[in-house]
Amino acid sequence: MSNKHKQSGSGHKSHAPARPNVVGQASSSFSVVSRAVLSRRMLFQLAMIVGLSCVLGFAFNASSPVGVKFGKPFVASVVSEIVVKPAESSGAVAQPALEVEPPMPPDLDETPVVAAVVEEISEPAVPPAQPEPSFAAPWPVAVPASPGSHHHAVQNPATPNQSSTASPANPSQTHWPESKALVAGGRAVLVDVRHKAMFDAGHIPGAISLPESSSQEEFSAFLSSQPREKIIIVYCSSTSCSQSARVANRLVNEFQWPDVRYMTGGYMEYQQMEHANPAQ
Amino acid sequence: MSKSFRPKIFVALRCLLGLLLLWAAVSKLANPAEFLGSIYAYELPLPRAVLQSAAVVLPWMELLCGLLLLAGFWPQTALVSVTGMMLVFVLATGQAWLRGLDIACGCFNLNIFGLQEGMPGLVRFLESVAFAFFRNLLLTAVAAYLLVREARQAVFSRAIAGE
Repeated sequence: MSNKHKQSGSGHKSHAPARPNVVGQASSSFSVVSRAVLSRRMLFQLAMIVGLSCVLGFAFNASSPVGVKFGKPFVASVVSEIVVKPAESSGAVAQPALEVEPPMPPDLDETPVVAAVVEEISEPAVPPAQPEPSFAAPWPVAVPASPGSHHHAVQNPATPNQSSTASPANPSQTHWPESKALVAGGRAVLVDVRHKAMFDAGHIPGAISLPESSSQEEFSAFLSSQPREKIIIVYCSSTSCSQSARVANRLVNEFQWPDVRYMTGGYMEYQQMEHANPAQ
Repeated sequence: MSKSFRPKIFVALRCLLGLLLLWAAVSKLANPAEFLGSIYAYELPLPRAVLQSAAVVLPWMELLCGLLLLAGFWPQTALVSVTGMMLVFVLATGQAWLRGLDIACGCFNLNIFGLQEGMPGLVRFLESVAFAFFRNLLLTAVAAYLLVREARQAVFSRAIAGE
C-alpha cells in the first residue's frame, strides 16, 4: 500500500501536480542552491549591462564634441576662450577684442580650456574704426587675430550705441546672440549666478561668478567695480533654473541697477548655440 | 480586477518604465557635458573622476535598461539595475532638496514638448529636485514591485519545471 502511494506520487510529480503542492514545493524547495544559481546568473547579466554601458559610454564620449573631458576642470571642448585685450597704447582702437579659440579635436586638445579672462577691460572712449561689414551678420564674425595665431578675434557687427539693444523693461529677458553682441561690444558684463562648482566646471567665457548665495557685500563689491551704464546679463543653467531671474530682480530692486537682463536659456542655450554655430 | 487583465498592467508598467528610461537617457546623451554640470550642481561629496564617469556611463545604463524592459529581455536583471539607479537618484535629489539647492534635476529634457516657451513655471516645477525626489520614489516603488513580481513568476516557473 505504501509502495503504491509512493509510485503514484512519483508518477504524478512529473505530470500535473496539484497547485498547493507546487506552492509548497516552491516555498520549501527553493533551496540555497537554486537561489545561488539565480543570483549568479543575475550577477553575470548585471556585469554585462554595466560593462557594456562603460564601453559604449566611454567610446561615445571620446567621439562626442560635447563629451566630458577627464582630468580637466572644463567640460566642453568646443567652448572657446575669450581674452579681452587691453586698449592699444596708441588709443586708436580702444575696442576690446573678443578672441575666440577655435575648437580643437578631442585628441589634440591638450591645453586646459579654463576660460581665462584678462581683467583689463577698458571702456571704449571712441567707437572703433572698423570697416563696415558687407552684410548684416546676425552673429559676430570671426577673423584671424594675428598671422600664425590660433586665436580668432570676433568682431561684433553691432555698434556700441545701437538703439535696438535698449531694454524696455528692467529686468528683461534676453538670449545668447544678443548677449554675445553686447559683451563683445564691451557694453555688457556676464554674471554667472550658478554655484561656484558649476562655474568652475564650465561657464561662458568672460563671465564673472557671482552665486545667488553671495553676500550683500559681495554683490556691492561687484557692482561698484562696474560702471553704471554697463548692462548686467545674468544667467544660470538653463530654462529650468530660476536663479537668474531672482538675481536680476534683486539687482534692480535692491541695487537699482539701470539695465539688468537675464538669459532665459542660460548656459545650456549658450552651449547649444555655440555648438550649432562654432565658426561664427 | 480579473486575472487576465493583471499581466497586461504589469507589461504596460514595465514598458512605461522602459520608455521613461529611454527618454531620460536620450536627454542626457545629447550633451554629456551639460549632464555633468547637472551632476556637479548636486554638490555630492565624491571625487571628480567618479562624477565624470557617472556622467558618461549612467545615460547608457538607462538606455540599455530601458531597451531591456521594453523588449522583455532579462527583465529581472534590468529591474534590479533600475531599482538601484532609482535609489541613487532618490538619495541625490533628497539630499539636494533637504539642503535647499535651487537646481534643475537634469533628469529629462522637457524641450521636446515645447513647454519651455509656453509654460516655464510648469517646467521649473517639473525639474525641481523636490518633484524629482517624489517622482523617483514612485518610480523606485514601481520598479521594486515589478521586480518582486518577476521574481515570483520565475520562482513558479522553476518550480513547475522541476528545477
